[in-house]
Parts: sequence; C-alpha cells; structure tokens
Amino acid sequence: MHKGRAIVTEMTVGPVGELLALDLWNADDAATVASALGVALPGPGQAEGAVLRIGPRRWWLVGTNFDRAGLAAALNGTGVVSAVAGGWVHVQLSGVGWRDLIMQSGLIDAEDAGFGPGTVAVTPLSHARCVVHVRAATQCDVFVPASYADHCLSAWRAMGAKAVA
Amino acid sequence: MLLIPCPHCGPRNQEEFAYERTLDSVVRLNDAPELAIATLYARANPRGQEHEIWSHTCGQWLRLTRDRISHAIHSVEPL
Amino acid sequence: MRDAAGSIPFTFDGKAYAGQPGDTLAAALIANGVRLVARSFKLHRPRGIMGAGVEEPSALVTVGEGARAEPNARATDVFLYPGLVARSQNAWPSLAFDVGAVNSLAAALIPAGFYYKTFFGPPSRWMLYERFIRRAAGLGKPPQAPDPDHYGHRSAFCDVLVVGAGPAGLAAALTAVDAGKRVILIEQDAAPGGSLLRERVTIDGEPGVVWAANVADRIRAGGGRVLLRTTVSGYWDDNFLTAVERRVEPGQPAEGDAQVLWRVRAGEVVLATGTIERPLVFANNDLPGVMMAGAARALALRHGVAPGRRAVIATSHDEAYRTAFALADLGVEIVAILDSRTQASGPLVEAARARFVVHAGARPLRAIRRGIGLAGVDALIDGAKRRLLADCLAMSGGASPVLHLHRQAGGALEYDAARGGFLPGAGRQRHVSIGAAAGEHDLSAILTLARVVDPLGPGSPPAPGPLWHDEAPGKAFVDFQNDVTTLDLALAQREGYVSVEHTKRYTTLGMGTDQGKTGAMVALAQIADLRGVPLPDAGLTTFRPPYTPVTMGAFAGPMKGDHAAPIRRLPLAAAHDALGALWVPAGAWMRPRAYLAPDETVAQASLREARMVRASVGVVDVSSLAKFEIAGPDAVDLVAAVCATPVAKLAIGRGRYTVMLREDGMVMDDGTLWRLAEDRWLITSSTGGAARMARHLTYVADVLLGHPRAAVVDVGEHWAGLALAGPQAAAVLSGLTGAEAPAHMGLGDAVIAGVPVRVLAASYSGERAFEVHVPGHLARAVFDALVGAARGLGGGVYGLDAMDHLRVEKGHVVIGAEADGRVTPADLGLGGVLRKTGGYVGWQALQRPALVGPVGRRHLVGLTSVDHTPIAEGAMLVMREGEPPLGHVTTAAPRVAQDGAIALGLLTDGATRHGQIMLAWSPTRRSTVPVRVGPPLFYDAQGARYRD
Repeated sequence: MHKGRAIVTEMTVGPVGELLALDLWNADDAATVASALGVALPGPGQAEGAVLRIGPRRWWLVGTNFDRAGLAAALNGTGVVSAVAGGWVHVQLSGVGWRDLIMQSGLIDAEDAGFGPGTVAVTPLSHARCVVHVRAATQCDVFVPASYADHCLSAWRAMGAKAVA
Repeated sequence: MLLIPCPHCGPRNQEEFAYERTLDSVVRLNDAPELAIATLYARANPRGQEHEIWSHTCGQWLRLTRDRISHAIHSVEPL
Repeated sequence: MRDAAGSIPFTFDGKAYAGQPGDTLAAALIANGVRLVARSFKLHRPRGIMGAGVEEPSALVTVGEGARAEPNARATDVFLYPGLVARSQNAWPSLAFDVGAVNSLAAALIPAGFYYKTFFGPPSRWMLYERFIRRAAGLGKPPQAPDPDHYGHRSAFCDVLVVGAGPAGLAAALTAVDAGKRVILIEQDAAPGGSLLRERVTIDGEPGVVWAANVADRIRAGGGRVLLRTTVSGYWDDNFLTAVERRVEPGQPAEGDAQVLWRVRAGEVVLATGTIERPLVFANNDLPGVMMAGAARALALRHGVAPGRRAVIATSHDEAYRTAFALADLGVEIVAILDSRTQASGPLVEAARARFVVHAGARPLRAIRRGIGLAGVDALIDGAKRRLLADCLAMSGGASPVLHLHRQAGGALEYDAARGGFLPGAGRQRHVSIGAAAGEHDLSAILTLARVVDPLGPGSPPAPGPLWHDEAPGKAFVDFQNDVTTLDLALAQREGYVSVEHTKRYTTLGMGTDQGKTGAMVALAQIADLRGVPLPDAGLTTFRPPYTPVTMGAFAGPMKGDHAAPIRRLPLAAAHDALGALWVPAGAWMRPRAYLAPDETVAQASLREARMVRASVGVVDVSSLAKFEIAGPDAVDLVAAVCATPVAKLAIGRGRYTVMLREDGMVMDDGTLWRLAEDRWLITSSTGGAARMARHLTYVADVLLGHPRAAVVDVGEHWAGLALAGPQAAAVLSGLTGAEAPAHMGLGDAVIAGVPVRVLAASYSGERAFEVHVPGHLARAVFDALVGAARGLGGGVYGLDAMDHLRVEKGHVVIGAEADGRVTPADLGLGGVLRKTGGYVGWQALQRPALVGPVGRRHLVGLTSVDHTPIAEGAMLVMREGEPPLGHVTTAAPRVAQDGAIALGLLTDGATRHGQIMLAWSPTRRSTVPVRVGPPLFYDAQGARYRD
C-alpha cells in the first residue's frame, strides 16, 4: 500500500447473512404488491429501508426481517422470491473517502450531488459487478460478488482504504 | 466509450453494457427452418443507422438505434 | 531576477549543475550555458532547445535512473527537482563527439525511404544489417526492469471541461463556475497562465501571471477542479476524454501514485488549447541556437534566462517582435529583426523600429555553424546576401491553432488563407474552441470582461513564413525529430508518393514522438507548393491519441501484478489451502488441481486421487459451476426454450442430463436440469460458460419470449457445490445426514453439520455420486464434515486433474475441449437426448443440409494407446505421419481403473472407424502414438457403478 494521497475510508467486511431476490412479472404491479406485502418497493436506483431496487423487475430484501414463505404467499402469482445471500460479500465503507474509492475503481458519478443517501447503483467496481447502496454522507454499503471479494478488497486496500474488520 | 442511456438506470458508460447482436440477426423460436437458417448468415450491414440489441449490467435488455459511422445513438428502447 | 547560484541541484551527462524553482530542465541547462543537448534521430546532427513546451521536437533526453528512467522526455516539459539526473540520447561516445555524426556525412545516400531501396539479399542477411541499423539511429533506450511506480485511475464527471488554463480557458472556467456548473480545468504546464507566462501584460491591474493564479484560486474556491501538469490525451465518444496527470516529474520517486489517468465525461468541452509556433524553413534551421521566438521569450520573461549573447529575430508577423524587447531587456544584443513581409507596420513594429534594426522583406537563408552551435546567419537583406554574426536566432513563421483534440472529436476544419492554416470548424460533439485556438490572437478580445494593458500594443494576426526554394546549401528541416528535410518531401513527390498520407509514411514526416507538432503546417505548405495545389487541397493526415506520449503504466493503472486480471476465488479457498492444494487457473477462477503428498508429482497425485474415488470415496469442490434457478408459472417454457432435451415431464424432485445449443445447432453448453418444485427449476452448467449462460437465459426470456412469468436467478455463487463420489459415497452421506441418500437423478434436502443443504444425486465420475449444495458462506462446516467422514472410510479430497481422469473414462464431454463450438449433439453421440418436438434454440439449424447427412462430420471417439504410451493432447489423428489430419485428440488421461493411457478425440466419420488403428501424431512434441479407435467409454459400460 502506498501513502501520499490515501483514500480516507475504512472497510468493514462480512457475509450478507440473509438476502432475498424479489422478482415481479410486471414492474407496474410494484405499488399494489408493496401494500400487499407491507414492504415498500422503491423506484429505479432507489432504496427504502432494507429494500433495494436492483433491476427493471427485481428488488433485494436485505437482512433477516423478511419471511420468505410469507412473502411468497402474499405475492399471489405476481412474482417469486429466491434466496441469494451466499453469492455476495458485504463491504461497509465509512468515512469521507468512499466516493473517492468509487471514482477510482468505477466509472459512475458518485460525486454528483444527487448520488446521496438512498441511492442504489448496480455498476462494475474494479471490474466486478457490484451493488452500491449509499447510506449516509459518510457511509456506503457495497455488495461484492463473493468470488471477486479478495480481488476487490485487495485493490481497494492498495488504493488506501483501510480494512478494519 | 459511448454514453448509453439505460431505460432503467439512466445514462451510463459503455463499459457497463454488452453488445449482443443486430436486430436483423435474431432467430425466433417459431421461425420456419428456412428462414432461421437464412438469418444465420445474412446481414443488412448498413452504412448508417442500424438497430442493435444490447444489455446493461442491471439486467435490462435494450434496442439501440446507432449510426455505425458516427456512433451517434439515435434512440433507445427497453426490450 | 535569477539567483546566480541556483538552489536545485541536478546533473546532465554526469556533470553537476543547479537551477531555480520553476525552471524547466531546458531553462536550467541554458542558464548553465549548456546548449547542445541531443543528437538527431537519423543524421545525428547536434541539437539544442527549440521550443518551450510539449511540442519540443529536438531536445529529447532521458530523465531518471534505472527502472524509473523515462526516455525521450522533452527537456522543455520537465520541471526541475533536487537530484534530477538527465542524460543525452543517441550519441556515442559522447554528445560532443558523436561517432554517429558520420551519418550526416553520408546524408546524401540516406534520404527518406532509403531503406526501401537498399539492403537487398537473402532474408538471413537482414539479420546482419539489422544489428547495425539498430545502433545507427534511434532515440532513447527503455528501462530494462519493471516500472516500480504506482499509477491510479480516476473517473470524473462535469458540466464543463475546459482544456487549457491560458487567458481564454481561465475566463471560460471562471464564468462556468460562477454560473453554478461543475467545472474541471486541465492544464499541461505546472502553473496556470498559458501565453501569459511569456508576456508582459497586466490584467485588471495585476501582472498576467498573478491574474492567472488568482483566477485559478477563484475557480477552486467556487468548487471547480483545477488539474495542473495534466495533459488531455484523447477525445473519444460522447464527450469522454482521457487525461494524464503527472503527480511527480519524470524520474522522480512518488509517495502515492506517480501519475493518474483521468477518465472524464463532460457535458460540454471548451478547447482553449492555444497555438504552436511554426518554424521558418532555411538551411541548417536545426542548429543549437536556433529556436522559436516564443520559446526565446519564455526563457527570458518566465525564467530570466538569456538564450544567447547576440540574437537575430526572423519572423513573418508581428508577435515575434516581442521577443526582441524581452531579450534586449535581459542584456542580449539584438543584431537585427528580419521581417519577411515587404510592408510591416503597426504600433508593435514602430516601437521596434525605434529601438532595433528592422529589415523588411528580409529572411534567413542559412544558419552558419561553428563547432556544435550557431555562429551566424546568412540572410537576404535588401535583395543581397549578408552575413550576421549571432549565437541565437529566434524564428517565427506564424502560429498554428492546436486542433488535435478538435479533430479527434470529429470536428471539421476551415482554411484561413491569411494565416495559411486551419481553424476549427463545426464540431461533431458538444465542444467549442476559444481563444488563440479559435484564431483569436488579441487578448483584449479574448478577455472581454477584463481590462488588458499591453505595453507593446496588439500585433497583427500571425501570418505564415516564406516557402523554401533551395536557396542555399544545407539541410532545411520541416520535421526536426525525424530528420525530414525539404529535399525528402521533393523526393517523395518525384517518386510518386504524392498524397499526404503516402508522403507521411515514405518520409516519416510527423511520425515521431512529437507527432510533428512543430513542422506539420510548414510541411503541408511545402507539399502543396510542390504539387501546385492550394494548401487545403493537399489533405491532412489523421490526428490520433495520445496527444503526447503516455507511459504504459498509466494505462494499466492498478491492473498490474496480481491485479492484472481479476481472479475469482472459491468460497472454500482457505479450506483448500489448509489441505495443501496445488492451485491452477481455470478461466478466471483458481481451482485446486491436486493435493500433493510429500514427494509426489502432480501426475502421481491425481492418479492416486482418481483411484481413491473408484475404490472408496472422494470429495471435490465444484462450486465454480454455473447454477440458475428459473422460477415462475412460465418457467417450464423458458427451460424448454433453452434446454434441447425433454423437460416438461420431469417430475418434482427429479433431474436429468441436458444440453443447450447455439442458434446454429452447435453444442453451446451442457449440464443438469432439476425440478425443485412445480414452478421452480435448477439448471447447472459449465464453469467456463457461466457468464455466457447467464446472458443467454435472460436473452431468451426477454428478447425471444417477451418476458414470460419466469425469473432467472443466478445462484452460481450463492451455492457452494461439493461432489461426493465413490462406492462409499452413499454411506458417507447417510452417516452425516442421518437419512437415506437420494436415488440416482433424484434430489432432496438434508442437514449436514447443522447446516441445511440440498443433495442432487448425479454422477460425473461414473461412481455413485452426490452433489451437495450449501450456501457459500456456510460451506466450511459442511466441507470439513464431508472430508472427515470420507477420510474415515479410506477416502479424501481430490482435485481437477483427478476429476478429469475419471470423466474421460466415462466419455463425458467438457465444454471447450470436446464441445469446441463446432460439434452438434449428434457428433457427440447425444442425438438421442434431443427433444423431438423441437422448440428449443438451435432446433431449426439442425436441419441444415450439412448437418443432416451422416458423412464427413467429426464424431466423438475413444482412443486407447496400443502400447500404453501416454497420448499427446491436441495431437492430430492420421493414418500415417505427414498426412492431413482426420481429427484430433481433445483430452488425454491415464486409465484409472487399470494401467494404460486413453483419450477422447474428434474424428471424421469416427463412428464408422471403431477398431481401426491410427496414429496420434504431434510433430511439435515429437510424439507419435498408435491408438485404437473405439466408443468413447472405457469403464463400466453398463452403468452399474453409479446407479442405485
């Protein structure tokens, strides 16, 4: 690792634990489905609570507060729920430098004023397809494919990010 | 490095997309064998605008109309 | 103005000197009286410093030492730092006494393109010529050790990107910042100011240089990003530009990144790239002491350095007159100003006439050399030839707007006859050129909102210099770096290389590291004149990035060494390390190849492991395999479209082998298909084809089927996969789960070591086998339990090589080896598994006439080595050595169950050749092995081993 212009950010790394992928056949059903599920389903590029919009018809439900069987039943033919936690590693970036890390490892405008808390972006970082979720001005979650985690974390350490856990 | 507007995510760098094929190269599952076989080998290859199929890293498939000389993107539609 | 002693020590060719903060290496060398700094590329002519920036063609030196040395650095574009080490290039034994100068004596024999007409003879003689040619000409030598520096990459986005922090660029950037835009201002120099750094003007009451620094501060204060020592290297599509930032000077060690490659996407681009001065063309216009008038002015005003003691100014327009004033104020004697215009007037010219000797209608004919530098000038004055004694000749033949980025962006050009050059025309992307780059040379017009005071008054627009017509003996250069003279241009025309593209390549005009920046327009004018056409009709060559040379490390950025390509690691990588795995790259993955016991070779270990599986039980990590869940009411439709086998009747809890075809009927991938529930399926397929299969599944769903109610969920990394294989496999499994193992091609859920798993009963090895799927982050406990239990029964872990040996005996194909994209299911003997009702991708193409007839296709065959000699993988299959191949060996392996060597291969009409003896012939590996052709199956033909 070289000093000098180190990125001021710390990385806390861990497994994702629980992660469900919710697919709807029709994105227009989102509002109806959200009321039926009792879970907000955010619009493109957005997060609401622990729910992230991942694709045109896919949402992620992060964490243990979601009952897969109950969700599947409540969907009532409008979509399906699948378990995907094992494929991802969760990296929490803390500190003012997380935007700098994303600008060095990716090609997305993390410095835009609109790229703030509640933003979700699916984008390559260090050539691995990651999911970025901005939590706060000084905190950002990055979901890294498990097989690429070693490569990404090593590259980000070389950029100056410190792994604290 | 084109800037391509993903119908779901908005304008993103070309690195996030993958070019798949031209629209006229698509073989439909219910095409008759003669048509399907002909489609395998014939291309319009225009010196100008062409309809292309691309995909974005978010999973969105899109139809792009691109000028093959200037690279200007004329229109984008979700598939 | 200058410290006599200087405070920054540096060396040049081993001698110690000192310079001042802010000096370029060129300025410091001249200040120390060093005027000879290089020998030219081909002719080894002595060269000094000609320019003042990146356009410098002659003063190329190597800066830095060892692995950090940077060859071909322009001395005018290197800023001094303590301990800088610089060396001249292309001279031996020394710069002053260069043996290579003999090339100059033979110059008449080595004009442009001479190498196309010499060096005839057999090809072997070229190797002899080449040794001498290599040493005879060239530039700097590259370092021999890997680059020790770190390089970064960085993205940036902005509303306005301004290229060039001269007066126009500064004003534009400030206006944009004040309007609330996101602004990036990029400047090559170490300080903002551009042309202001070599002029004496005041702007709003401040010296131009101070004004520039203040504006840069205001831009930063307003949130703009100002990058100095940064060159915009390329202008790509959709206003995407790359720029290279030097964080340290060449050869200087860096604490962080030595350079950063910026990748900028801009809403609008403002090109304030200024101009590059043109030389005058006359004999020996390349001597040390001959330099551009603007460069001489920069030396004097920016660095306080006098370029000589007696100077002649030669020009075709007003601007160069400023140089006379700047030099005179430093004590340089101005011998004369030679103005090629017959009528010169205006405040600038009148002011000069009051102080200096000014000759109108005058121009230099020949620079006179004494020793290794300029001693005088033969000039045409008042119609007669006169000799002027001088050690400095400051010349200016006009100024060319810097159009490179405009052209890279696809912008058009407009010819301006008055200035004899091109101005930027319509842009193709959202960019605009301003300031001197757009042809505006009056500072007051550029800075409309500021009060500009120029003590000398404005000058006339820059006009081109006179054309050279063989007026005096000696070489007149148009491209200084590649030693291209007016004679070479004339030669090219005479020999038929008329177009500018041909002239360029024949003479190497403009092909040096400076891209011919200085002489481009001058050469074009000569070519047009030789051809007798107007200049714009002579054509222009293409402007290509990078604008200035970029070190390879900057392109690589962080992708070097272990990070040259992303490596994918298995979830159980640590567990395999603990067992002493030997790793092997498999595509982007690292997978365990074998687990070597002490003193074992890889071949011994993998054969031992394979035999262990056949004898008792083994555990292998198959996590890298692709896995997809297809879920929803229409899932069966999607599965049926992708899989070419029957699917609809697959019962819940059951699986089958399946194959996926390309549209052209070739086998694309293969794997297994499982029905997990009424509306949920699991597809497994090859590791190498995982990314392709993921795209294919969503392509079929979204593009071909128009969004069926079926989700494609990539669970390849969600599930770690462990294959448990061998006669003891069922016992191991039951022992851990406490339940009966699933039946062959059945599946079930279970718990191992407290972790919920899914068990799929499928065999790749040919033994009874089970694939255990467990979420990746929970896999360790399950792996340890399986391996522990296996060891308890005399088994253990096995790796990729052993797995390969086992499957070869069973004739299972591998995508990429046997299924190489050119074989159909029938070729592989899988015709029987295809779904007769069609409807899958590729079903139509299988009806192509070429695929329907049975003759001439290559079939999958088994090959047995007649005398047990190992068969070379990739060997050709022939009847006799030297004959055209009838096929090739796709995978070779030792026999596991007994001694011997076997292989799989693809052989023309192989199905009809069973029993034949052929040769597996590899001339490159000097291997010829007799083999018997047979069915691709060497073990357990009945399939008794893997069934219940």
